[in-house]
Amino acid sequence: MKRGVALVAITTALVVPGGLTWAASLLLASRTLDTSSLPTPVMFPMSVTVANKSGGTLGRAQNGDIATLVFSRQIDEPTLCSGWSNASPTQALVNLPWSIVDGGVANDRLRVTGTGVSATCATGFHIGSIDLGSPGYNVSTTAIDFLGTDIALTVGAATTTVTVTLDGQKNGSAVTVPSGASALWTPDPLLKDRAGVNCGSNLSRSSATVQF
Amino acid sequence: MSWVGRARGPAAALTTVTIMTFAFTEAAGAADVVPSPRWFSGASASVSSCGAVSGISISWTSTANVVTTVALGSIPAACLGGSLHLTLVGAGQAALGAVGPVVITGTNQSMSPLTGAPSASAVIGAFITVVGA
Repeated sequence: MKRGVALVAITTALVVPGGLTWAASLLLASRTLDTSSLPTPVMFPMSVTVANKSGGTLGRAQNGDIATLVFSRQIDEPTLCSGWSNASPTQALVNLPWSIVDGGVANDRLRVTGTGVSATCATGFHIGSIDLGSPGYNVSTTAIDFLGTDIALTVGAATTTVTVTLDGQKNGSAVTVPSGASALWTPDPLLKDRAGVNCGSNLSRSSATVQF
Repeated sequence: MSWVGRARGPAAALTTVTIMTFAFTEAAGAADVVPSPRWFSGASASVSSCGAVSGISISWTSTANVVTTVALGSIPAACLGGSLHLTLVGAGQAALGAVGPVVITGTNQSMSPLTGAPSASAVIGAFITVVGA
């Protein structure tokens, strides 16, 4: 059928006592183009927080601040860190360099520094990066480095949690950000679940609008 | 389709709708019908599709496991200008959240906010409907 408005004509006769008074044609115009059920994501970032350490200065990146990232599925651990195996539901990594990279007028980002940053994770640590929601966390063009950052991985029955505890701070210029926007985590497409599915274009935002 | 009932007199006829059924030579009868049905009549007609809506991809942004924005991709170009409604469903096809209708402006489109604060981990599927102008 050619595209167009489908017209359904219904003719009725309306009568009042005394006889037929008029007949009316009702034209119902309808063009429902399509309807469908669609699959939804199964592997996606569920949540991200970038929390201040106990007793720390809210809004200022410091040693001890903790980023927590949760995936919706059990990840394939070697796709996060090549030296890990799915045989263990927990993993730990020490001294993995992370940085707050200055975004200039754009928001600063928190991410692993470089690739091949650890003998265990020879091809990189494929967690992705976090847009911190403000350009003000690092006001230097030099990145703030956390060279002694610790990583803890926990694979649960249905989800995976990665905890990043910043440590070994040097370089850059950390400033307290009093207000900002939520952080936005973009997972690395190289990281996959155990069915070989990555996070695609799915993202996760923090509830908090001030990080660290 | 016709409804045939018993005449109730002129007074009643003022507040009811009468539908007449026809014979070939003359009116066969007239009857008063109280318009209680919700549908006046039923009919079917073929309508055209704007493309492979089933090929639309879905991704989302979640905050604390709540879907806050849905991004659609690969929307057929022929659907542009149509009105799109999306419902996220969980177990038993229970509606968890919905967004729309919104006018389709591109082959990729973001939709927010969603009603219902759907838990991302509880969503198992989505239903979309595209309706033309």
